[in-house]
This record gives sequence, C-alpha cells and structure tokens, in this order.
Amino acid sequence: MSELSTTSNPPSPIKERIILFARNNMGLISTLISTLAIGLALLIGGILIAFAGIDPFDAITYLVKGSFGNRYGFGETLTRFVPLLFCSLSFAIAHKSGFFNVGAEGQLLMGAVGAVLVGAYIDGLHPILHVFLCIVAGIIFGAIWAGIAGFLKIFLGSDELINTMMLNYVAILLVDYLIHGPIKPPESYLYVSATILPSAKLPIILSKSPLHLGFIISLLVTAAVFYLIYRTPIGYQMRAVGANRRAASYAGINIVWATIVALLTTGGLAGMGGAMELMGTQFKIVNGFSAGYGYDGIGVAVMGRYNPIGILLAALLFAVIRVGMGAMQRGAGVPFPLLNVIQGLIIVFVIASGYLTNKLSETVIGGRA
Amino acid sequence: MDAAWMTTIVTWLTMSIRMSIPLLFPSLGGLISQKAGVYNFGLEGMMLCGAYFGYFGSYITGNPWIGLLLGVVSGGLLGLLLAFTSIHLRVSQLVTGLGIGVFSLGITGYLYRLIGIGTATTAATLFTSVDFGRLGSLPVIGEIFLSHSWMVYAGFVLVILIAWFFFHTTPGLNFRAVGENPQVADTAGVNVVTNRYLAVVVSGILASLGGAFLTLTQTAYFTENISAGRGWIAISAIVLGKFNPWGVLLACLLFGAADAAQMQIQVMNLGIPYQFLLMTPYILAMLAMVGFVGKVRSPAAMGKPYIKH
Repeated sequence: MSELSTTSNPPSPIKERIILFARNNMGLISTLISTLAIGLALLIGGILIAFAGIDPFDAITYLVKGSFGNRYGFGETLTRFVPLLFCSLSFAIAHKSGFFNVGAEGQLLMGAVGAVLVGAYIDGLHPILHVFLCIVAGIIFGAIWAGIAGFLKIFLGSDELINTMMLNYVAILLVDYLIHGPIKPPESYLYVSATILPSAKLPIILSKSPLHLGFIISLLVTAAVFYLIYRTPIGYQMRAVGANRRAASYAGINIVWATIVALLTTGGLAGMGGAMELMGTQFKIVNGFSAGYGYDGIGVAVMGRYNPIGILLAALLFAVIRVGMGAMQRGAGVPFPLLNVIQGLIIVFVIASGYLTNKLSETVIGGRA
Repeated sequence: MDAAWMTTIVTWLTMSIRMSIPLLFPSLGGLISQKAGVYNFGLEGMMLCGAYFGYFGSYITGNPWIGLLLGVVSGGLLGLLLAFTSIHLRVSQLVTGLGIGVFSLGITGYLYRLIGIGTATTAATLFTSVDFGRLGSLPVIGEIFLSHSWMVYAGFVLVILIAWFFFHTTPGLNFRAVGENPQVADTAGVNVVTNRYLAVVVSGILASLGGAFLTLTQTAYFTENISAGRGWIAISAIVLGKFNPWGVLLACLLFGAADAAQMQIQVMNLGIPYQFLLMTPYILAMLAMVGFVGKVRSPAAMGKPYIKH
C-alpha cells in the first residue's frame, strides 16, 4: 500500500477508475473475496472426495438434492440453521463485548438439559406456557454454564477462553452421566433422556418437512440481539468494553456489569439454541446431541463478519453443507467428517482473506482517484 | 502398608509420568510459540494430526519411526500455516487456531473412516520401552522411571534443552526479546519474522509429537478426537508453569498425576460414576488458572502482530 500512496507518478486513468470503483464497492468486493475463499474450501473438499475414489460431481448432486432439492431436505436445512444461528449469535455477542466464548457447545447441551427437565417432567401445562417455560429453562441453564466461566474471569481473573473450552468437555461428560441414570427413563434400554411431552414440542410450520417454529423464533431473536447491541445503552456499553476496556472504564462504564450482561446473553443464546433443537427436532437427549453446532457457530460468526445479514447467510450456507454432507454420506459414501474439513478451511480462508480486504481498503483510501 | 497398596502406588506413579508426556510436548510447543509472541491455539488440531498421521505411517509401513516422521511433518505444516496467517497476514491468531482445530478434527476423521475402523488388523506398530538391562528390573524405581518408551525421556531432555536455550544462549535471548519487545529486538538486528516463524513451526512439531505419543506408544489405534482437549489443557499448563520450562514440566506432571489417579480410581470401581472421574483433568485445568492470570507475566508482545516501520 505504501508503494502506491508514495508513488510520484500520477496513476494511469485505468488505475484511477479501478480505485474509484473499488472505493464505491468495498462491500461487494469483500463479499466476492469471501465467496472465493469458500469456493477454495469447497474445491479442496472436492479433491478429497476424488481422493476417496468417489466422483465429486456425483457427490455434489447428492449435496444439492439433499439440502434443498426437495421439500423435506429444504425443511431439514432450515431446521439445522436454527442451532447454528443461535451459536453464532452467542459467539458474536461475546466477541463484540471483548471476550471469547468458545463454549457454545457446552452451553447448548446444558440448555437442552434445562429444557428436557421442564419439558419432560412438568405435566399439565398449556402448550404455549410449556414451550415458553422450556425456552426460559434452556436460557437459564446456558447462562449458568457460561456464568461459571464468567465468575472465574471476573472474580478470580481466570482466562475465559480456556475455561469455556474446558466446560464443553465437562458438559459432554455431565450429560453422558445424566442420560446413564438421573434423566434416563427407567424402562429404556438405551442411554437417552426422557422424551419431552407433546405440549412442549414446537409446532411444525411447513407440512411434510421437519421445519418447526424455532426457525421463526431464531429470526426474531437475531433481530433482538442486534437491536440490543446497537440500539440500547447496555449494548453500547458492551461494545465500548469490547472495543477498549480501559477507555470504557475511564468513560465511567461499569465494566463488571456490562461483562455480566454479555456473558449471560452469550450463554443464554447458546442455551436457547439447545432448547430449540430439543423441542423442535430431537425431543430427547442422546449422546452426540449437539454434533458440533457450538464450534460451527464460531465459523458462522467469523464468516458472517459479525453482522446480522452476514451471519444469516453464513448460517444458511453451513446448514446446507451440513445437511448435504449427510446426503452425500448416505448416497455416495463420503465420510461425514469432511464437513469439518470444509468448515475448518472456510474459517481459515475467510479469516485470511480479511487481510486482502484490509489491504485493499488501505490502498483505496490511501490511493489517489 | 500392604503389597496391594504398594502396587497401586507404583502403578500410579508410573502412569503419572506416562500421562504427563502427551501434555508436556504440546505445552512446550505452546510455550516456545508464546515466548516469541504468537499464541498457538491450534495445538489441539496439531496434536490430532500428529496422532493420526503417526498412526497411519506406522500402520502402513510397520515402522513407528516413519509414522513419527509423517506426524511431525503434518504438525510442522499446520504450524507453517498458523505462522503465515498470524505473522504475514496478521489476522486473528485465535480464530486461525480454532480453524486449524476444526480442520484437523475433520481431516483425521475423514481419512480414518476411509481406511477402516478399529479392526484388529489396523493396529499400528508401537515404540517399545527402552531396555535398561538389569537396572530396569530394580524394584519400584525400575518400574516407575525405567519402564518407558524413548519419547518419555525425550520429553524430559527437551525441558532441559529449552530451559538452557532460553536462559543461557544468545539466540534464546533474542527469541525472548522478539516476544517481549519486537521493535527493540528488530532495532538490535534480531530478525523478528524469522524467529517467530521458527517458533510457531517448532511449536506445531512439538504438538504433533504429543499426539503421536498417544498412538505410537499407548493405544496403537487412532480414534476420532483422541487428543480429548489436551491441546487446550496444555495452554493452562503453560500459565500454571509461569511461562518457565521447569514450571511447565511440574504443571504437566501434576496434570499427569491427576489423570493417572482418575484412571486408577476407575479401575478400583469405587462406585464413582466414571464421567465425573473423566472430568477431573478439565476441572483441574480451570482451577489451575485461577488467580494466576494477571499475576503471572506473559511475554509483553504476545498475540500482537509485528508491523515493521
């Protein structure tokens, strides 16, 4: 960038036009760069499929058909979209508030535990009330799980990144314990939790598909989250703490309070995602209930560049890949972990492409036009 | 004290040493990287790749050394990737590290499922224990200290080497300077970029050694997610060890002892649900950091990209 801005030769008209175009279309260009990054990740995925001796085009047909080629697959994609969206919102709000919550996986699981306790063991409620109480329980359990890391950070100075990660492993083991005994129905031979009552299930909103009301709720929550961050005083305080802790402190912002609110929100969102997944899709907790939604959510937030539209699109893309990958496994025999390969590459490429975008905007702003 | 208790304690101490090694390698790796000013949050993924490719190479050729070589190359390459993104591209070290973790979980799981799962024929050839001759048959001491594979001793030697390198050599001093104050180091003629690259690549190699230790000396099999969070616990061990190689060794021995203890208690069948026993390493890793962050001084320029002016 410095070569360009310090050059003594006047830029050629063509260069001038390119710079002008770039300056007016930065959003478009960064989207394009992200798309290229995703394309590259998918390309490597295709090479790996070919390496397994499977025709990649055959596999891609399964991906497309499985994820939005028919009514059921389309519904399934939008269903997977829900927990992904919640987990990415959880990561994004923590990121905006200046800490790393890599514990959505555990918080989601605990949220599902909260929802299963209310959904399976409290009987005789009106469905609307029952659903509402299940969601509240999910939020509370998720928030408590994040709150452990928050407590350790705020009062004992312990690093939240490692703690939220460690709490994922603890949550998985805790849930494993619960479904081996305390919340296992006595008559069951399998290690599962009790199934929630019909009154706690979310209604299907697209017939002949698994799509449930949680999809609508997740969109509303997205709007609410970004309203909270950008349009409310506490949201402003959270962002201020995230941008510069010390400056926020000098400005008289109560850092502890802002951090607590952010932590409870980030945990609550992941927990709510767990409740939705339970009440709309799985109805009971089994081993592997979460299947990596918490980690995928990080990728979604990074790819969506922490803004609402970006996150919605990224969550949709990840959902398509996830559902399509299942269809590819069933149809073409592609091992499912390819999902993580592609998502990991997307994370690395998209974050790396941020460099290009930054460099380009420096050039454009520094260059003459 | 009766003989049964004696046996239990000897086994526990032996296991403590053995279980500290898969933490020691990645911890030392993370330490080197952090000393040079770069966070390596990809340790977990690098371990996984080391474990898988170590297993794969040994399984295919029947020679654990080839496996080790493959594992180390995979860790080094991931280190190179992390070095490139964090030093040249200056993008988030945390997010890249997490991406490497997700990618590694996927690629090892993918290749593993392609090649076949857990049948008897898929066992890798293991490194055998070092033969200390008659010393090895000494009571108690022979079993606790002289019954391990060479990788265990390599881990301890590495601690000595790294401590000597950091505190008694000029390159080691330069290395630390790069992590403390890259501007000053640069002015003094130390190449910040080269040092940081070296640090992160070596860090990847060490992390993959930790993973290879699991499959090449312990299990002979790969299972998905075999590292089970050790790459993250390692970061806690670095903090607990106060960024000092000797401290890190002690921290890893402590974690190893806890891990060995929970394994022993599982075998004793005391009626404690095994899930709670399995939780102990993670909870210990959380407790280990309580009150340390802030009091322990980490390298001043850690996590900050260096921009040459």
